[in-house]
Amino acid sequence: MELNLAGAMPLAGGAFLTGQDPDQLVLDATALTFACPLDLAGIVAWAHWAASGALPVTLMMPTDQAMASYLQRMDVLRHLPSRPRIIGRVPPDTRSDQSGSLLEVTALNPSNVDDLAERLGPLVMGFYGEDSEAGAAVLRACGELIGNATEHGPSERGAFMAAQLHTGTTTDGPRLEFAVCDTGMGIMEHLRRNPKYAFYTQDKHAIARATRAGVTGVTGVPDDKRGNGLYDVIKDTRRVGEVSLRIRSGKGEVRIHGATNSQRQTLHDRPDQTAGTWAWLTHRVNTTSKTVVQSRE
Amino acid sequence: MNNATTFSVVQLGKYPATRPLGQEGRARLDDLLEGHTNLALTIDFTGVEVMNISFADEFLGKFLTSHDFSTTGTTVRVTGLNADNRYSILVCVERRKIAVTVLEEDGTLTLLGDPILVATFDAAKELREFKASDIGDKLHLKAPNANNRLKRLADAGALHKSQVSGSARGGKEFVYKIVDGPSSNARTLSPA
Repeated sequence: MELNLAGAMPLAGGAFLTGQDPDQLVLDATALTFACPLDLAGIVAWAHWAASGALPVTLMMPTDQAMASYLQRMDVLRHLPSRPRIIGRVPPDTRSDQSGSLLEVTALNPSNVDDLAERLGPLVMGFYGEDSEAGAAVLRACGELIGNATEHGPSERGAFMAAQLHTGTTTDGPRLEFAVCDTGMGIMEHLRRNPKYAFYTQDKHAIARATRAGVTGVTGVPDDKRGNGLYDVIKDTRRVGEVSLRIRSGKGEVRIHGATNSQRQTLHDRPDQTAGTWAWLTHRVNTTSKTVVQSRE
Repeated sequence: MNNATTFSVVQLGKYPATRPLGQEGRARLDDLLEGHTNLALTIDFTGVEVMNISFADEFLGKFLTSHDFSTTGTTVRVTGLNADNRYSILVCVERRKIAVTVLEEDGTLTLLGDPILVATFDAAKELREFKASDIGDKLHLKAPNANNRLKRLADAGALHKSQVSGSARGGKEFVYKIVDGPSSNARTLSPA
């Protein structure tokens, strides 16, 4: 199998797993030019998925040395499963302190999730600076996503998260990007545990349903008031800026775009099958926001 | 006489985010209550920067709904809320249709939750110590309605409830009391 990671943000775009050689996974990043947190966490998640099925994993490093260095800097190589085959030049691991603007690929599991929430807190709140209302809303959203990944999506392969906070000086405005890719059962299988939702047969419809209030696969305690996590992620973050949330699970993907006065959602089928659930949150601060980032500009 | 005790939530973290952590915190609260009566419990969020709604629900929402505090004479209030944490708690109590007393920075008590209970609690604050008939008169409520509201407030730990001995009316009659704001003698109780 091969994943062709070409161009900018391939996993956020059209890249998908193709099945030409079922005996190995080749992650071909030779033509990769720009990677977002979803690419970084997704590469690692795919690699672990393959390794858990005893498939050898090969990573073809980007020919663009800056890009190769970025993969190294963001700990993609460090989080690959043991003994991957790496083709291409591996740059030296030199790094400056970027703790205020990025979170390297980090393995997430039930035993470290609370410690990682403590690490995410200062990063997100520091980025939003004086606009603590926006920072708190986005941090709550990130907390819901990592909570979901470890509570509903745990597997032996684990989950991986990464974040990048853009000042907007070289891109289109300040924004926070956060991705978490778990390798668990996926949204549809989780929802179907609840007899109320057992009828779902298409991932995209199950994902869309999961974004509504009070929808949960957790059963056993009646009137438990659960199942508001994804609903809160969107409601909370669109109050304080512009949010884009993509949720990919199984063969489906739902894209939600929300702003203060609007929200739209589109459902998509995917040609490959994501093993678990991936969430990619992008939040752009309001133009009236008083973030530290904007004041620097 | 009430025992005052404070549970500091920051022991769970400055950015508590998950339901399992909320469960752990709730278990610690349950341990704190075990074997005690007439406890004035303050849950202090000072130092907690941001908590998400799932944590708030698992920790506080389920704690408030899993006890009938009036049976043990327990009162519960939260304090040290910043605006963001107040929002999380408000969402949680609205979803569960419950109420929680907040000890504000200036020492006053307010109630978050159902507006009907908020109005009743405001009237109760003026009366301080009263019977159901007093609040009925003040809010022009019939006895069953007044009793129902006060029961909900006492069950939520917003009011201290005690039975009147030798009631002139026959049957059970209760006195309700607002438990005051800051308690200088608050201490941390060990689990029984």
